[in-house]
This record gives sequence, structure tokens and C-alpha cells, in this order.
Amino acid sequence: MKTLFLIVKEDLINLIKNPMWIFYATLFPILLVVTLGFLTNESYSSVVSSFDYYGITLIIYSALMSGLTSSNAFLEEKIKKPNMRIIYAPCRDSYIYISKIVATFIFEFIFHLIDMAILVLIFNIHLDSIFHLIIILALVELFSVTLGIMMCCIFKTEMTANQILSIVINLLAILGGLVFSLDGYGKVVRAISLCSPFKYITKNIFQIIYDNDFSLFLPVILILVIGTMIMLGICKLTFKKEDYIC
Amino acid sequence: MLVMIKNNIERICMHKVFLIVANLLTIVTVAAAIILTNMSISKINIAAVNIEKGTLNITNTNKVDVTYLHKDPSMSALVEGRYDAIISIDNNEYKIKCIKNKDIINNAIYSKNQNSLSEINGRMVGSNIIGYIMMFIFIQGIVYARLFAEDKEKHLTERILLSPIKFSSYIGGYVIFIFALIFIPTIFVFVVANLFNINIGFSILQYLFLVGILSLLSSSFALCISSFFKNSNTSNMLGNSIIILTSILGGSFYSIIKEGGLLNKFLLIIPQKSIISYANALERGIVNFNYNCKIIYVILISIIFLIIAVMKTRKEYIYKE
Repeated sequence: MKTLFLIVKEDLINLIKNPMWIFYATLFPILLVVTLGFLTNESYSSVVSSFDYYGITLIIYSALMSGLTSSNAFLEEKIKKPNMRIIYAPCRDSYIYISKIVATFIFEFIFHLIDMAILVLIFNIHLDSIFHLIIILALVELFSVTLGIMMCCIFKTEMTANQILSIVINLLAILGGLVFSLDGYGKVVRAISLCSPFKYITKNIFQIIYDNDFSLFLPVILILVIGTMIMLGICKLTFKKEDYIC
Repeated sequence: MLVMIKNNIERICMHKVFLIVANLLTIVTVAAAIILTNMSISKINIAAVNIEKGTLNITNTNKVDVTYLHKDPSMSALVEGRYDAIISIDNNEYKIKCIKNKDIINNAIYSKNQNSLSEINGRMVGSNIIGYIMMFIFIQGIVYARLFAEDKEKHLTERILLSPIKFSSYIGGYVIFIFALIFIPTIFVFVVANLFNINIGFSILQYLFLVGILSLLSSSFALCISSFFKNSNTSNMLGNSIIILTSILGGSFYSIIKEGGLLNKFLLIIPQKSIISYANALERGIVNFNYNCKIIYVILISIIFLIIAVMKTRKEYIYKE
């Protein structure tokens, strides 16, 4: 375990030293929420403002985007030689991708919590039972980071993994109603939007905040945890250290 | 320029999995956009609680969709957007509960003007499809431009530029290559949809023009961003952020209408807005000089991006004392 801790520390330092990823994790969600919130402010009333809706959905969207950070952290040019050194070091091979998962999770989770705190303070977003919401946010982060690493393990090249991940993440986000609400577009579109697990997550969060209804909480947690476990299993099956020797 | 294109084709054929998956994804996204526009019905959703059918006097029945319920739906259904308003009866008095702006809902229910709702969401099938695929076309441009960014990372650019090739041929080869990779699969899906007589809004010739403009803008923007950074990941993520922000602001998924004039003027800079309004006008057949100016603006911006890319690469790779 001590080696895992050392590798995670090095990965974290690598993530923090890159200003682009810090921008992506901190400023980008705030920018999205502020612009969309201001622009749609008039279609909402004072009881529920546009920031109430977009503050929550866009933070989940940013948590989903952390998959891109994790896949980039795994297959960068400058990480190739360090990866090779870890392969030859006397530790388990799975430490290579597990450390990336843990490091990206810590990095993104802390920054997104700070973002959420800033947004709630500035825009007075309605929140309730913060403990449950933090658990949901943490599980979504873990899910998307593992999704990123799984794509890398399957496709093994930076280009393919990035291409597929960009499109899959954006498709899941749009179908789940994170960018704009798909509910008002008729029965067929509503049925299609049930394909994405993020529809259930946003539904659950709004039910917790506005109705005090925790009925969807356990199913959502189960879906996310089981999904993460399945993806970790696929990572373990498809990860072959011969592909990462340069 | 032809040498560069041949070189790039051979390079990408080495990653066959990438090529096949990328083309499949393009085809799937465009097909999904076509299906989604054809199946979505844009109406105002009203929940009527404990009200008998027929007692509500609604003039625009084809623009308003009423669901009769026995129990009040939860507040979260309102916030999610499942219902726009809840009408309930209480001691023979009607009460409307909604979180959106009450004026819009009142206007839509009680206005006698049949066209009032279509003014608010005034987009027909073709412009909706163009709006949905716009963001994905731009993201693909960034992904394919990774070849160019990898050139810079692996120091291949220095070797290529030592040969007597012009800078504009080098970048021009990349533009044509990325353009073809985005253009061909997209048009293929539209041709197939047309063969099956699915309603796609525009004719194939008009789609050739519109998708061509989108692909040109996408490849020139991607090359311009990649020419600024030595690290391919930086340009990838910055390009992604800018594309997502400007596509949402430019109204690719739904039109953003803001009363304040200053913000509207600022939004006019974004080329996505010009493309959408041109597509809208093209579908309604009201193209005039004003709309042609918008398309010329988009083409000009693409050319400016290309010029910036060439100049930045030249500045970086020519050694001047």
C-alpha cells in the first residue's frame, strides 16, 4: 500500500502542475453556470431561479467531464516513461491505473466541492441534506473517472480514447437532460432520455431538495457503485502491461 | 499539399480502430439527431389536478398538452421541467402554480393567436438538426487536429518544414484532411436518410453547403488552437471548453433570447448564432442580403483562423536573429 500512496502522490503533483487542468476543474464549471444562469434568468421566477436548476445540473456535468482529465492523465506523452518505470518496479501492475483513478478523483472532488461552495454562497441555490448530496457527487466523480480509465485500457491510444470519451460523455449528458431539460418534449423523447443514468441522478437530487423524498437514493447509489465495479473489472481484464512499453 | 494529404491518410490508416470507431460515432450521432428532431413534440405541458375534461377552455389545443391527474405532482417535477404549470381547483377557484415566468404560460394558454408559440420556439426540422450536430462536428475537428498537435510534440514539424514545402501547403494539407474526415460520413448519413424518405428539412444540396461551412469552421478553429500550444492535451481541453461554451451560448440546442440589448449584441459575435439564423432563414425561404452577410462572416472567420495558424507556426519555426 505504501507504493500505491507514493504513486498517487506523484500523480497528484503532475495534475496540479498543469494549469490547464486546474482551469478545467475550477473556472470552467463556474463559467458555465454563470453564463447559462444569467441568460435564462427571465424564464424562471423568484421562487426557483435559473441558478437553482443549472447550478446542480452543470456541476454534475463537470463531474462527468472529469473522465477526460483522467484519460489524459493516463496516456499523456510525458507519462509514458514513468508508466514504464512503474511496470519494472516491484509492485503490482494494477497500481498503474488504480493510482490514476485515485489521484484524479481526489483532485477533481476537492475542486468541485470548492466550486459548489462558491456557487451556493453567491447565488443562494436551494440545498437540503448536504450529506446525501456530497455522497452522490463523490460517486458520480468515481464513476466518470473509472469510465475514462476504462476507455484508455480498452483502446490503448490517446486519440481513440479521447475521441470516444468526448462523444460518449456529451451524449450521456445531453440525453440525461443536463444541458437542457428533455422532459417537455413529448413521450418518445422522455423514453429515450431514460437510457442515460444521469436522468435518474438529477431526478433524485431534485426530489431530495424539493420534496424530501429519498426513495430514489438507494437505487442511484447502487447503480453507480455497481457500474464502477463492472468498469474496474473490465479494466483489470483488458490491461496488459506489454502495451505500455515505449 | 498533395504529399501532406497522402502522408496523413497513411498515418491514420495505421490506427484502423480509431478510423472505424470515429466514423461509426459520426454516423450514430447524426442519425440520433435526425431521429430526435423527428420525434420531439414541443408543447407546453400542463398538469390538471382533479379537473374534469372539457371544463378548461384552452384555445390552442395543438400547442398545449394537458395531463389529467388525481394527485398533485411533486415540486421536483416542476423544477425538472416535466410540467410547465399545475392547475388545480380549490373551492371553485382555479389556481396556477408554476416556477417559470407566469406571463409566458398565460400568453400561450389564453392567446387567440395561433402562431404565438411558434414565434417563441421558431425552429423547423432542418435547423434543429443542424443545431444538434453542430457541437459534435466542432468536437470532432479538435480530435482530428490531434495529429497536427502530435507532430509538434514529437518534433516531426521541424523535419517536415526543413524540406522545401510552404507553410500554407503544410497547414492546407491538414485542413483538407480534417475537412474530408468530418464531411464525408455526415453527408453519407443524410444521403441515406433521404433515400429512406425521412424528413430532414433541407435538400441534399443545401446540406452539402451547410455541412461544408461547419466542417471548414471546425477544422480551421481546431488548427488555430493547436498552433498555439506545444502540448496536445492543453489545446484539446481548451478547445473543448470553448466549443461547449460557445455552442450553448450560440443557441445550438435552444434559442436564448435576452431582453437586454447589450448582451444580445455580444452574442452576435459567436459564429454559431449566425449559422443557426442562416439555416432558419434558408428553411423558411426568406434568405436576403442580410442573411448572406452572416454566412460571409462565418467564412471570413474561418479564413482568419487559418491565417493566424499559418502565421503562428511560421513565427515559431523560423529562426530569426
